This record gives sequence, structure tokens and C-alpha cells, in this order.
Amino acid sequence: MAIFSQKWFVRLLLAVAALAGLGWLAQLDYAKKISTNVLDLIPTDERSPELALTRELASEEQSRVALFALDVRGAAAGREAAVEKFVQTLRGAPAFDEVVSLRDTTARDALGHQVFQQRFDLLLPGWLESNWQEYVAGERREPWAEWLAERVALKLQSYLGSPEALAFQEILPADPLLLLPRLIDSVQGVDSPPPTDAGAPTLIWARTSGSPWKEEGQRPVFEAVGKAQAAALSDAPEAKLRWVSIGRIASASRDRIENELSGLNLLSLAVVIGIAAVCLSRVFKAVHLAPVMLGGLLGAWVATTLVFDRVHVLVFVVGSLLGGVAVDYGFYLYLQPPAFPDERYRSKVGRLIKPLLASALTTVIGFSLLLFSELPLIRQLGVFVSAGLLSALATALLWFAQVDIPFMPTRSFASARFTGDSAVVRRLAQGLLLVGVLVALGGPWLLHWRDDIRELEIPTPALQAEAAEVRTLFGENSERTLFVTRGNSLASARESLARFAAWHAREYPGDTLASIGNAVPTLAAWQAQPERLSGLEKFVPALQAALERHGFDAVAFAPFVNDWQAWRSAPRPVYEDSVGRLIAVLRGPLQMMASVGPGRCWFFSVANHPPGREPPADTATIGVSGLENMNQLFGRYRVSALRLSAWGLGLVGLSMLVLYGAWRGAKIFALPLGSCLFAFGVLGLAGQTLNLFHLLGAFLGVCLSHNYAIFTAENAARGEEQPPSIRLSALTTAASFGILALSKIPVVKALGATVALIVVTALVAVELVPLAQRPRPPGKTQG
Amino acid sequence: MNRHCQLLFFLLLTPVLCLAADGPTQLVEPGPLVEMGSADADWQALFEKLASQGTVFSHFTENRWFPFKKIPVVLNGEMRSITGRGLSLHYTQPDDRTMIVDERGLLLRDDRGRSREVPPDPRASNINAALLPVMRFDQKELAKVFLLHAARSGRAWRLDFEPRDVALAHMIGRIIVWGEEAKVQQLEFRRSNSQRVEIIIDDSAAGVVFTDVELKRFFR
Repeated sequence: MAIFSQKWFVRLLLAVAALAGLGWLAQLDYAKKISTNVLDLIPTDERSPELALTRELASEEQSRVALFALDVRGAAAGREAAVEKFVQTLRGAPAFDEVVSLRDTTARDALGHQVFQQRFDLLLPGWLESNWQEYVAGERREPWAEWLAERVALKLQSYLGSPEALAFQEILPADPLLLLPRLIDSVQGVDSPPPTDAGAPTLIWARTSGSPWKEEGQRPVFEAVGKAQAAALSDAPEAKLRWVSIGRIASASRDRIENELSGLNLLSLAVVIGIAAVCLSRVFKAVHLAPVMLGGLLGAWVATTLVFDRVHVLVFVVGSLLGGVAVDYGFYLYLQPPAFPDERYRSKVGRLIKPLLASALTTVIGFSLLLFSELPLIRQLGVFVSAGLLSALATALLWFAQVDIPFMPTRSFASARFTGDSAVVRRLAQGLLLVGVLVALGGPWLLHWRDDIRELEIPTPALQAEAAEVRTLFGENSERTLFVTRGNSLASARESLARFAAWHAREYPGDTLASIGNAVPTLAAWQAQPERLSGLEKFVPALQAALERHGFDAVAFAPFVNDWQAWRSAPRPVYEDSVGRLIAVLRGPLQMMASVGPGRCWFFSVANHPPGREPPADTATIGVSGLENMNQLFGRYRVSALRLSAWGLGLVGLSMLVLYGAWRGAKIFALPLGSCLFAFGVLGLAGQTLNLFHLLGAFLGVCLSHNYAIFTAENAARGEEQPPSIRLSALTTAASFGILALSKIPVVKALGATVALIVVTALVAVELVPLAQRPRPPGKTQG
Repeated sequence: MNRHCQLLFFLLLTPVLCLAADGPTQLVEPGPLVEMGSADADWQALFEKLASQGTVFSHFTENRWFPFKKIPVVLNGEMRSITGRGLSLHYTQPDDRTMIVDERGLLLRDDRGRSREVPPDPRASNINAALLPVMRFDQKELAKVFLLHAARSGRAWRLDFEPRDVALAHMIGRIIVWGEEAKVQQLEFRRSNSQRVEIIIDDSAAGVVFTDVELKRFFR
């Protein structure tokens, strides 16, 4: 009766735990809880300001941009109508905040008009300051006003011989100082004008209202684009649309990850159960292993979603293979024969609990160290695996407590081993082990490491090819480099831009650097302006005289004189307000070129040369090669993860020494360590480039093979042969991680291949070591 | 007129200078309207001659008249034209700079050989399309965009190209070409009397062969 009650209590406990876990998971809002955003892999409090800025730009500003290239053949009228319908339909959709055809010059005209209106506020301070510096560096024979007037006339005369003069001749009477032509020359290239030949596609720039990483920035956008395309097709049935948005790629990537997640999980489960079915004497009884795996996964999901507000989907993709690890405990408990007939379950557990706890807890200790990682993904994986292993162990202990016969023998081939004393076999085993040692010692030196954030996503070749085509049409190419200069205030950002421009001029002489920031005066020039103007009371008559001397009709410059006098008599605006009015008129692609906000300002610059040396730190500028920045970031996190893994391994090794003594502990620890080095050696010899996820895989593989070392050592200590569970466990783990190696996500593939390789190595080593040793005399056990 | 439009317009029309005469013309008034493509045989022969330009080298003087300047700005330079490769204008005075126009667009090159693309202007799309035939002196295509006034006086002639589109006419004004027999003497882009560009051909040689150094320096 006691046993009967105990079993029902255990069943009740299991049922309550399962219901509680499933209940928790059922009420989660998965759209909010699970992220597919690559940027969520980066800490929100990333310490490097450059990377933080890149993350911010990528997540907030730039990511909402959608680019469209609409090819419409046929008559111009039909083409224009189709494009107009497309644009208007998109504009009418709530999913879009802004839609601009690049042929529409309204935004550029508005900017030009605004700069012209504010030319004395924005452009004069810098112009005055640079002229003043030349004046004070010279002999100063003439008064400042006369010197400046003569210089203006000379420069204007020279300018009229340039090709650009023909284009600006109508504004020169209002701008003989050439403020606007100088500026336009310095901002050429900040946006790419569309191709103008008749056969070229119409380029349309748009900004979505919702974040492309979330549902509101995806499906409604796709629907709006579909409607707009249908509207265009009604006028031009042969119209062809190519477009790119982060949301489109993110959505495709998420769909493929979800498909892969379910596909790999099912395949992994099938393979694990299949191996169990083949190796176990009674196939249907293998079903007792499923609760252990499911219990581990349930515990892992619950713990991870409890601990973290937002969890990256990769954790579940990678963590789903926890089943292959969790089943270890089931194997070990279920396949271990009773020490004597009618041995009670409690007694069996008492006998096996030490290796079970030793393997589980040391692995948990190792993975718990990952909680100190800077990378959210690694922290989440640490919790997922640790919680999953503890849940699996608890589930295994409880599940087999309520099973009538908690033992199942394996088929004979699964536990068969060579017991003879053959010198050939011994030498062969020794030779193989020696080769393994050589590979483990030499191969890792050949390893190359490189982290690439693109490997975190499933490639979508068709979409990416389309995106590359569209981006090229919009002017992106490898011959241009984008820089972003930041500052906590407008003044500091602008000062940094000036330092960066000076550096760029020295570093890339002759190459142009275009930035809308050139339309903003530095604070120093702004503050110096009143003093510079104080000597210019007689500037207008001096200029008129100088113009006449150089063959100009001074009367024709009345627009300048009127504007100058009106500006001089008006109250001076506040620096930030003046710039704010300029920034406020930026629309469309130009809007991406600058941002002025409290505590955060930045300017984009475009250089007409390929990416090269990074600007010095005092320029507060970085090359906006987002991927490279992210890759550097991941490289840095790999080093951090490597350090944590080393500490984790050290702790695992120390645990072994404490639990099993120095010599035995060292022997146990040698197996996972040697397997890991061998796997890295093989990868090094194969010329494989490794990344952060190979490292994580290695850590996982070490913890797994560590289990086999403990179970083997425990059995050896009792004078028993190694348990068959090791073979089954290693095979199931290798199979499940081998399936992971089929993933289309490069990093998942890396992780799977590494774990599978380490586990197989450990299994082979466990099998080879006894073969390489001379058989011990009967009755003598290992100690 | 926007910068790209004006430069392109100027450059595309310049090839007609290739067969320059020795001195400026005396024809001061535009002639009567002539239907391009169906003009009399003499005009047809002239057009065909202008259209069949080969490799050309010329010296030229450019006078730029601005409404706010009492005297013109004078520039001197060399023109090189190769059928299929494009046109290169090398200004030697007052500053050394080169402008190149070809199928890929417009390129500015300074005296140190540093090049800069002039980005196309979205507003100039129809202008580009309209002016491309000018480079080939394609009567059929030109007729779609321009009205032609033609005048003769002895061996001298004058062609006035007037944009059909009012907006285009406002942007680029009228193009006037003076010549004698099959040689162009002068070209003018005229928006008004006070706002115009005169290009006077000083000398010209057809069928010249440019060296590799010249090709590299003056073409893309």
C-alpha cells in the first residue's frame, strides 16, 4: 500500500509540475516574449558607444526604411500613371509614415530653399571665420571690411569661370559670397539621385510606421505593398516590382527559423527514439525515455521564459537539442541492471545518485558561469541548459520511481565488447589514441577565428539578391563609405564633424566628404560671429566698390544688399533653434542624414572612396559598416565567452578533483578535455574557420562527454564494465547534434557539428582506452 | 537651370563645333522655320555632314555673359571628340579643368587628375533624353524636341534650335549655331541678351589620332 501510495504521489507530483509548466507557457505572449531580431543578441547597455549607436541606428532609424524599384515598360504616360498609383496607394496605407519617389525633388528643393533663407545664420559664421583666419594670418594692410570685399569680388570672378557658375547664375546676385554654391559642393553625394534614363526603374523611398522587427512592421507593410503593386499593375500589367526592407527579410528569416525549429525537433526526437528502439530489447518501453526529454525541455522553457523578459529564438533552436543531453539520465537510470534480484528503486537510485548528481551538477556549474556573459544569447542559453538538465534529472528520478520495472536490458550488440587479449587490437587502439593525441595537440594551433553576424540568420538568397539589386540602384556601392559622427549635443557633434573632416582631408586627400552637417556652423564660429561682424559696418559699400572694380554691375546685387541689411537688423536666433529649423525640413532619404535630439545628435557623411582606416577616437566618428561593427562585437564576446568557458571548465575539473581525488579526477577530466582538443584539432586541420558558436558547442560537448567519463569511472570503480547507457547516450546525442549540423543557420550548424564531433570522440575514446590496455588480472578493480 | 542640365546641354551640343570655319558669321537674325527631316537638299546635306563627325580636335574661346557682369568671362580650351567614346572639353584658361561627357554621364576632372561625377538631376530626365540625339545630330530625334529656324547668306548659315516645350525653353533658352559651308564657327546658348554663352571655334582638325596618354587624361 505504501509503495502504491508513493507511486501515485510521484505521479501526482509529475502531473502538477507538468500542468504548472504548460500553464505558464500557455499564457505567454510569444510575439512579445520571443525575438527574432538579430539586434536583440546585443546587450541594450552595450558599453562601446560606437556599437551602441550602430545598434540604435539599426533598430530605430534605418531599419524602417523600405526601398522600391518599380520597372514599368511602355509609354511614358502609362508609366507615370502606374508609378503615381503605386506611390499614392502606399501613402494611403497606415503601415507607411512617408513615401517619396526619388524623382520628386520637393524635399531637396525645400532643403535648398531653407538653407538659402537661413544662409546668413547657418553658413556665414563658418565663412566669416575662415576668412578672418586668413586675414589675421596676412599682413592686414587694409581694414577687415575692405579686405573681405575685395576677396569676395575676386572669388566671384574666379567662380564664374567654373562649370558650376552657369547653374547658379540666378542666385548669385543674392549670394555673391558664394555661401550656397560652396555648401552644395560640400553636400553632393549625401543622397543618390535616381538614374534618369527613360528605361530606368522608378525608385521609391519609404519609411514604415511600425518596427520591422515586430508584427506591425511586417504583415501590414506586405499587404500595403501588395495593394500598391496591384494598383500599379492595373495601369501597367507588365510592371515589375523589386523591393527591400528589413521587415521582409526578418519575416522570411523568422518563418524559416520556425520551420527549421519544428523540423529539427521532430527529426531529433525521431532519431533519438529510433536509436533507443534499435538498441533496447523492448522497443515500446523506450517510450519511458520520452518523459525525461520532455520534462527537461519543459523545465528549460519555463525557467528561461521566467527569468528573461525577452528570449531570442535561437536559444530554442539550439536548446531544443537539449533532448539529446537530457535523455542521458534516463538511459543511465533505466539501463542500469539491478545490483541484485528485486533491488528496490530507492536502493538503485542511492547507488547511482552520485554519478548522476556529479555529472548534472558539474555541467550546471559550468553552464551557470555563462550567466555572467555580456551576450544575452549566451546568458539565456546558460539558463536554458542548466534548468533543462536539472529538470531532466528530476523527471528521470521521479518517472522511474512510478514505473513498475525501472530497468530495461539492451540488446546484446548494444553492450557487446571485445574482451580478448589481442596484441594487434591493442596496438591498433594505441595507434588510434596516439593519432588522436597528436591531432589534439597540433590541430588547434591551425585554427582561425572569425565571427560574422550574418551567420546568425538563415540565408534567404533570393531576397538578398533582390535587396542587393535594389540597394545598388539606390546608389550603395563598395566605392562609397558612410561615416556617422555623434555627440551628446549639437555643438559637440558639429565640433567632432569638423575634426573628422580635417582628419579625412589629411587621410584621403582629393576625396570628397559630403555631409549635411556642413550646413551647420560650429559653436565656436557661431560665437565668434558678432565680433567678426563688428568690423563690417562698411562692408556693403566696400563690396559694391570692389564689384565695380572687377567689371560687375553692383546694382545687380541689390538682392544681397537688401537681405544683408534685413538680417543685420533682425534679432539673432538661438544656435539650436536655427539648426533645428534646418533639420525640420529634412524629408525622405535626407532625413536619415542627420538627427538632432536631446542628448543624442549625429551627422552622416558620405565619402567617395572605399572603406579604409577607421577615424581616430577624438573625431567621435565611425565608419558605418554595420556588419563589421557587429562582427567586431561578436569577436569581442567570443573572447569573453572563451574566458567564461575556461573558468567553467576549470570549475568542472576542480569539482572532479574534489569528488574523486586528484588522480582519478584528473583521469575523468582528461576525457572531455581531450575530446574537445581533438575536435578543435580536426577542425583546425580541415581549415575550418571557427566562431563564437563553435566555442559554445565545445563547452556543451565537454559537459556531455564529462558525463560519460563519470559514468565509466563509477562503473570501473565497482569493477563493472562501462554501462551500455554511454553508447546509447553518445549515439543519441551525436545523432541529435548531427541533425543540428544540417541546419541552414551557419552558427547552429557550427554548434551541432562541434558537439557531435566531441561526443563521438569521447565515445570512441571510452571504447578504445580499455582495448589499448592489457587486461587486468581477475578480481582487481580500478581505483 | 540646374547644374547638371546646363552642363549636359552645353556639352552635348558642342560636337557640332567639330567642323569649324575660320571666322565668325555675319548672320544676325534667325531664319524662317524649317521642317527637320524634310528640309531642302542643301540643308539635308549640311545636317548629314554635321552628323558624320569623326575624331575631332579644336581650340575654342568661350565668352560667358551674366546679367550682373558688364564684361564677359572669357575661357579658353581644347575640345576632343571621339564617336562612341564621348566628348572632352579641356579648359586651359583661366583654370585647368576638364569636363567629359559620355554614355555614363558627366565627369569633372581637375588639374591634378582628380575626377568627380556630376550626379544626374531627376528634373533633367527629359532634357537628357532630348539632348542625347544632339550628340549624333540625329534630325529625327531632334525634331521631336526642337523647332528649327535656318538662314543662309552665301556660304554662311545659321541654325536656331528652339525647344518645343515651354518649360524646357524657359530652362535652356535657344541654341544658335553659326557656320560656313560644312564648318561650325560659333555656338551660342542664349536665354537672353544678358545671359548667354558664346563659343567661338578658333581652329579645328578632323580625323586626328589621340595618343594613349591623351585618351587616358581626357576621356573616361
